[in-house]
Amino acid sequence: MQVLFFAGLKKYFQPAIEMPAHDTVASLLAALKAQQHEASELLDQSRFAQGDQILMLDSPIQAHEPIVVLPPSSGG
Amino acid sequence: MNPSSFFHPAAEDSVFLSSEPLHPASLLQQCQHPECGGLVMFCGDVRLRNMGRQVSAIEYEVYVPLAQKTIRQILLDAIQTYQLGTAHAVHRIGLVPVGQTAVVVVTAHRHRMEAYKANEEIIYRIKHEVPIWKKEIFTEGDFHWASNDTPRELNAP
Repeated sequence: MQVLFFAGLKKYFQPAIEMPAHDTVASLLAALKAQQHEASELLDQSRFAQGDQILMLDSPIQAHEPIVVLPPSSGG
Repeated sequence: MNPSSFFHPAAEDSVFLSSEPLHPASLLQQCQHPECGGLVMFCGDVRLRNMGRQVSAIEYEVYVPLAQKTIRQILLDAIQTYQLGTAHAVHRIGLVPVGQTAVVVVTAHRHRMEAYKANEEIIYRIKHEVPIWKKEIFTEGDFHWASNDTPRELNAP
């Protein structure tokens, strides 16, 4: 599955990476933290989405659609 | 005034993100409403100094599908909560030099107080809930990703 990163998360990850399939956001989050320990705090503050839908930790992931990781907003 | 002639965020063709310079006076005009005596406009401009350093520009990164949807919902929420005649907001995407406007929020109500309150709530929610991130580029050429100190309950899955 494809995972896309934005803003400060790109300090730790390439903008787009391929990950093994995960059933839920919680499982993917744990895998990302294991891959980049230094990003753990920022990952814990981030939201996950597919398309225009925000996902909850127990939300199932649609494997065919990229999942995006959104750090805290800083617009305005 | 024809009631259909003023802007409403529910319209399917509404656009809340722009890669081109914003024109605040035009956005204000779109929100003039025959039932509203109070219009409030907020403009957020890119300023020269931050953290004691000189800024050359801000680059806004945006996750467009969710940003467009979230700004529309924030405007609709404010219209309902404050019984606004209408509300509008547009945020820039990409590189915005010092002195240019990065975001505009307009609110229209029968009276000024509700228009002020709604405007403040909308810009607060835009800064904390919409997936937009600012990369401050300093005149020395380095950059950093800015933070809005978003309350934890507005983030995290």
